[in-house]
Formats: sequence, structure tokens, C-alpha cells
Amino acid sequence: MSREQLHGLMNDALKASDADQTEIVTMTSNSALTWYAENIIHQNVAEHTAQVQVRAVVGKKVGSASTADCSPEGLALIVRQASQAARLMPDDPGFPGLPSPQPIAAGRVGGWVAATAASQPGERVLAVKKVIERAEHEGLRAAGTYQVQNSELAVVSSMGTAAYQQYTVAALKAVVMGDDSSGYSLMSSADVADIDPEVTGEQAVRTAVETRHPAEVEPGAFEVVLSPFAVEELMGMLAYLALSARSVEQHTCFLEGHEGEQISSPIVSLYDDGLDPAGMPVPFDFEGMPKHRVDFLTQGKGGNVVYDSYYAAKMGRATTGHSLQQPNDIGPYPLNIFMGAGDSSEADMVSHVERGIYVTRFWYGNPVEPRGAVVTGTTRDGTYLIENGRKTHGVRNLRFTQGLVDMLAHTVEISRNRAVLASSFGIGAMVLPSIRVEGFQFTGVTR
Amino acid sequence: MDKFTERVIAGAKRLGASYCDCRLIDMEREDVSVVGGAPRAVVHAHQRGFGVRVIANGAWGFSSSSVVTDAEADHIAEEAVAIAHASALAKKKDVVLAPVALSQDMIPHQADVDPFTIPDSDKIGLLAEATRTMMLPGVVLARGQMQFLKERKIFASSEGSYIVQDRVESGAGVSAMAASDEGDVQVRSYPMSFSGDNAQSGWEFVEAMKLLEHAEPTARGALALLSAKPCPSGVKDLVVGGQQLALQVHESCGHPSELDRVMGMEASFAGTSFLTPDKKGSFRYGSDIVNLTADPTIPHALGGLVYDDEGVRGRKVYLVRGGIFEHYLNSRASAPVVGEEPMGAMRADGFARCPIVRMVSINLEPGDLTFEQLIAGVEDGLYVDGIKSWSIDDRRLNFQFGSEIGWEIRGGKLQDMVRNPTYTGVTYEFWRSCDGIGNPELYHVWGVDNCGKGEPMQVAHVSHGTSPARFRHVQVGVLHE
Repeated sequence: MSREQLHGLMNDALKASDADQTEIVTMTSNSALTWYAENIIHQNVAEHTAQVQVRAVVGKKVGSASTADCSPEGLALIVRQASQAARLMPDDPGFPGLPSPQPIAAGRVGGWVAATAASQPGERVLAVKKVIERAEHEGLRAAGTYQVQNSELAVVSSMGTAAYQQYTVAALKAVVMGDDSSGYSLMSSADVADIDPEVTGEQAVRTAVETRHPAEVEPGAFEVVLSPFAVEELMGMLAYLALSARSVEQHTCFLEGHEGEQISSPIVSLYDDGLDPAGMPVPFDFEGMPKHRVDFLTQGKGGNVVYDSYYAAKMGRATTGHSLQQPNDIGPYPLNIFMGAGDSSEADMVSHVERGIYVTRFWYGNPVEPRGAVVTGTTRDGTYLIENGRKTHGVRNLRFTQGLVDMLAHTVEISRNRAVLASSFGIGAMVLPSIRVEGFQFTGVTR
Repeated sequence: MDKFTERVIAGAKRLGASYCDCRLIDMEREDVSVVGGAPRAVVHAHQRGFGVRVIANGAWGFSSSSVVTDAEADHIAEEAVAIAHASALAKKKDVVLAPVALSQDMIPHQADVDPFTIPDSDKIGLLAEATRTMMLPGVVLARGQMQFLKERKIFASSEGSYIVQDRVESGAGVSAMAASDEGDVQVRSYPMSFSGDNAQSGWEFVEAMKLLEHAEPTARGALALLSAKPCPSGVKDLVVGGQQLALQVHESCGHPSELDRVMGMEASFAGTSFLTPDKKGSFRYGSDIVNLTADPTIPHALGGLVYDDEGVRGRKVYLVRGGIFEHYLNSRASAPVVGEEPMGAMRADGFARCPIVRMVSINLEPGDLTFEQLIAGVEDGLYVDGIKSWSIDDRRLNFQFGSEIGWEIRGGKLQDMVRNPTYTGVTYEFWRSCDGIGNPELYHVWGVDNCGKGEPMQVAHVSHGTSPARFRHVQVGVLHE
């Protein structure tokens, strides 16, 4: 659908609402995914879905309803249902009302590429075949996905908000496995032309080959070099635990009460920027509010957290444009996290380690103690021992139990190059470098 | 067969599909969330759509749409077949499905009181009162939530099955978060953490929870944890409560038994499994008393079903019997590879996603010990319960779990409460150390509505029947500083 068609449908439904305030959020998605494993394609799927979410406000009462039916009749029905739901609700004294419209930096950001939207299943299959053939050449087994997504996000409200963005995502992932080792690679972009299956396959194959016959190392504190994939897993957990107004409410935010104080290493800057074209930008949130850059850490000094309109009102702040679909129980969320680039390379970092561990990827991270963002998880798909400045051989996967705030305090080197890693939410991306960290805590070893 | 699914299947066959199934699903959801006595989120959701799975030229194709019209039926059938032909460009051999008994059936839901007939104001009122009751001095956050689902699913296949299944689910729970001046934060939940307990039942299931009666004790538990001693560190005997054991069963038995994982199909996301086919029938997974079942037939269990999303009638199998690994969770395509018959574990998250192998109700069969007997058998140990944190490696071997609450055990008796209890181990070593399981009176089937798997991610509703159980020589209290 075009912006005009979608907004036209939504505005017609808005006019039919009898609530004091009404908001309609529509997401449409045409996505396709080729899923391969053991050097064959075992699923190849497409889905064409729409979701319309309506918030209706009557006084201090808020009702919500959603539907997959994007027809004029479907929209009219869901608006009526939301309004009826609102009238049956008790007052929510903390509800501030729908936010007033604000100018959105439309045109400043890209995010939609026609070639991605038009890509065909045969093209995905041929790309996947290249990864498989590269793995087979080394006697290895390839698994992964090639996903292409063409989506729209539109928000209108009776307050005058009218926001629309189309965006595309292409992401090719490869896990290549041998008998006792594996390697990983992921390439993602708004533009399918940026996806190079040969590079993706080569990186995963090389790691699987280099980490064959892994040795076992005793757990303990190690200097580590973390690839962007590993950093992504940890930053995802940090976002969940500690970078939003909800984390302040839950007393798990390490930034609370420490604005301007030196919290982490002075080389660490961490921020969210939904407008930066280096990532996968969407210039507004699910309330149609413009995204503002939020600096969590600037050269290690404590900054702010992200807000939506509800938490902004509750905490006497302005929304930063980080609302997820409302209502929700997650609170505001940073979908475009960046870590500032350093001046090193991954090879430099490895060369600076006398004895340490290189981590390609972490897996199954989960909080152990939310305060300090202590999390546990394991390494996966390419864990190396570093000796005398070289990755010498693979090691068995290790369990870590590490405070992320502490980790950022002991980050001593950051790479110039950063990877764009599409979000598993289907919107947004993290842009992250490799980092070198001292004293990273490994607490167990896998079999 | 209805005209819509008939049209889809006829269209796919006309375009060259050798097999086609269509699932047409109409689903309502309601999610209610209350914080500190005030409604935070009430969401009514309705979804209707269909998914079409085909085999053409020996390869799979799948497409789905939320537009249920004749024109879209033709378009999606055509797209599914086209995708199958594209898949065939990289096939090594043709997909072969195990034969399945054809069914014409209509399955009713198991709810007594349709939860969608209960006014929102009643649901919010109950949670508001419960969360207000929990806001004792020192409690900084009291949450309550309810979730309900009502679904009609039509499954039709080109082989001739036509199955209509109705399903109603209800769930609820409350939690209290307490914070100390020193910055410690502790949480207690009732009846289970995260979204509470869930079942294929109606409003009667929520009423039976007696949330109001349990609100204040739950909050007092969170407050008590603030002054509890830290979890000791060392190798100790461990009694795991039923709720925590549900997580243990889920992560260390349910997932590694999924045959698609074993065959590498999940390698790029959730990983593989240590339960390789060479271990089937001989591998000692646990001690002699460990019997783990996959049983979709338990009445009201959240993971229960009559037919799966391939039209296979669900049946009970032993994943582990007498401690020996015996059977997988499987599908029509994967079961023949390891000499099994399909047992009804293929499920999709809604109409838009393609079915994959999922847990049903995975259960640890009860033993014969009372709770007091389990504790009495421990000289120096720990009792833990309440799911707080979980992590397990990509082969499902090395795990580390955290519980909301624990107590030291000394001389066969529960002693001091401990905070932030954790334990870690290797799956088969842990289960082999099991020397006592609680009796049927301690048994409960927990409903878990957040099991993630697959790409794109699919969330399944599963369940786990457990009693508390005792394990010897377990590493507890993982130090990280």
C-alpha cells in the first residue's frame, strides 16, 4: 500500500471513532525466509501479514484492540471495539493522554530499498547454495537463514499525528559446523545488494576450520576480544535490563542517579540513534513521536535512558521517541543502539593479548542479578584461545557470569569497524564494534 | 471440507503440488496487565488468516496471509508452490512424509467458563486488589497479569484429513519486587514467575488460583529475601521445587528431544542437541527413577492437543524411561529417519508460521516421597524454587539456573532462607544424580506460554508436570567476582 492509501484508510477509521482520543498503528509486512541446515533447504516460507492496533481514550479510561484485518470494514470495527473497551475500563489515573504531534525528520533517513522489496525466492536459494557449496568444499555442514522483509509502519491519531515509513531488511546468516567445531557469520542491510553470500560463507567456514579439535581451558578471569556478534548479545541484555525508564522504575538501571559521573571506561560511548543512516533507521516510534538520540554513556560518563510518553509523563521528562506498540508491559526500548567506534582493528586487539579468549558469539544470555546487569550465558560458534597475540586454536565453549557494567568499565580497546546487525524485533539494528575487555569472568566449561 | 480450504488445496494441486495442507485460524487474545493497583495494559487482539504448506518437485514451500478471500487463496497457493520449486533448486533428495491415519474430526475446547465472557473490569479489579495488597512498605513494584486465548483452527490436507479444533486458554499471576536501601532487588511470584500459570481451561482456572489470598505472602517473601543471607557456594545436595523443575525439564529434556534440533535444523538459531540418534535406546540420561514423558493427552494441560498441525493424533511417548533415553519429539518428515512414528508434536505459532517440532506436555513422572522425606534425606544442601534466570548451551548440556528463593538444608531440615540461589551442571550428570522424586500429591502441571524457537521466531504454549526432586552433589552458588 502507499502512504496515501494507508493513511487514507486509517484516517477514515479515525473519523468514525466516538472516543475522546484515538490512535491507530498499522504494521504491514511481506517477509520471506529461506531456512537451511545440513546443507539442504528445509523450509522456505513467505508471510503477508498486517496488524492494526487501536488505542481509544475516554476520559482517563484507555481501551485497546488489534486486528489483522486491514480492510475499511475491519478498521471501522476495531476502532469501535477499542472505544467500547475503553468505556468498560476503570480510570487509569497515570495515563497522560495521547501525545501531541511533533515534527518528524522524514527524508533524512533511508531504510527502504526497492530491490530488497522485489527480491524473489530463487535469488535467496542461489545465495544460500553458495554458502552450502563453500561449506561442502571443506567437508562441513552449513545451516542458517536468508530473510527478506518489506514493511510499513504507519501511525495516525486524533491529536494530529501522521507518521509513515517503509523499510526493508535483508539478512543472511550462516552457522557452519564440523564434527567438533562451528563458525558463524551474519550480514544484514536494508539493501539486498549488500548481502554477499561468499563473504558470509567464507567467514563462517574459516572459523569452523580454525577452531577444530578444541582444547579445554579452565574457567576463570580472562582478557577477551569480543566480536560484534558477541557484543550484540550483551548489549541486547543491557537494553532489556538497564537502558529504559522502565529499568529506572524497576531499580535495575545503573545510570540512575549517576548522570555525568564516570561509570565506564572513557573509551566507551553508547547511544541510541534512530535517525543515523549507518544503522537501519526508522525516524519515529510506535506513538508516531520523533526519535531523538539518547546518550547512555558518553566517554564513559553516565547519561540518560529512553522514554515513551507514558514514562515521560510519569517521571517528568519528555518522550525520546522510544515507544514500542502501546499498550505494552515492556516499556520504552532502544531499537537502534550504537557503540562509538574506536581506533583499533580486531587484529590489533588480538595482538595485544598475551593469553586470552576470542569470542565469536554468545548464546542464551539471561540475567542473574539485574542490579549491575550481571548475566550468564555461553560462548558459541567459534571460541579461540589467544596466546602471545595470536589466535592459536579453538577451545571448548565456556560459560560466563559477568556484570555488564563492570565489563564496560574494563573495556580497553574498541575497533574502528562496526557491524550493522538487524534487530530480531524486525525493526531497527545495532551498530557495534569489536571490543577488548580485561578480567572477563568465565565460570564454567561445556562438554 | 469447507470451500475455502478446498479451493486452496485444489489450487496447489493444480499447480503441481504433490501434497498440500491448509490451516485456517481464527484467534482472539486478551492480555491484561496491572501495576500497583492501576491498569497498565489491556489488549484485545483478533487474528484471522491461513497458512499453506506444500510439497512440489520434492521440496517444501509455505506461504500465509491475513487476507481470507478467494483471490488471496489462489495467490498464496501459487506462491507456496513457486517457493517449493525454488527450494527444489537446492534439494539433495525428495521430502518423504510418514503415513498418517486420515481424520475427520471436531474437537471441543476444555473450558467451563469462557474467559471472554468475564468483563474486563472484573479482571482488572481482581488484579488491582491483589497488587494493591502487595504494596507493603519496601515493595517498589507489584505486578499482575492475565492472558486468555480462544481459537478455532481448521486443518485440511490433500490426503483427505479435515479437523476442526477449538481451544481456550487462561492464565494469570502476580509478582512483587522489593528493594533495599543498599540497592538489592528481590522478586517473588505467585503461582509462577513471568506470566504465571496457564492451562487449557476457562475463568475457573484463574479463580482457583486465589490470587488475593496469596498476594500478601508473595510480597512478604520478596521483602524477606532482602535480609536473607547470600546463597552459599559449593558442591551440595539440592532439592529442586516443582516450579523450578519445570524449567529444568523444559530446557534439559524437552528441547534436546526435539528431532529437528537433533537433525541440525535449528543449528543456526537455538542450536543442536547432545541426544544424537546413536544414543537412542541405550544412553543413560538419568537415574533409574527418572521417567520423562511427552504426553499431549493430559486434560487441561497447556501443551495438550488432540491433533497437531500435520493432522497427526497426539499420543504419549516416553522420552526417557528408567533413566534410558528412548524417544524423540518428531514430525511426519523426521520420524522415519530414526525409525519412529509421528507422535503429534508439529505445531505453528498462528496461521502465518510453518509448523515445526515443538514440545507438548513434557513431564517428570512422580515418585513416592513426601516433601519432608525429600528434605530429610539431605545432610548439607539447598532447597530452591521459583524461576528467575535460565541459560543452557547450544547442545543443551551445560546449564546454569537461578531461582527466586532458597533455603539451606542441614541435618535433614530446612534452615535459613538464602537469596539469589543458583546452580549449574551438565544435563545427564544432573539427572543421573536424581535419587528422590516427590509423590503424586506434590505433582502439578505448569503451563508455560513463552517457549521460543524457530526462524522467524515462533512462541509455543507448552506444559510440564513435575513434583519436587532431589539431586546429589550439585554445584550451587556460582561466584562471578
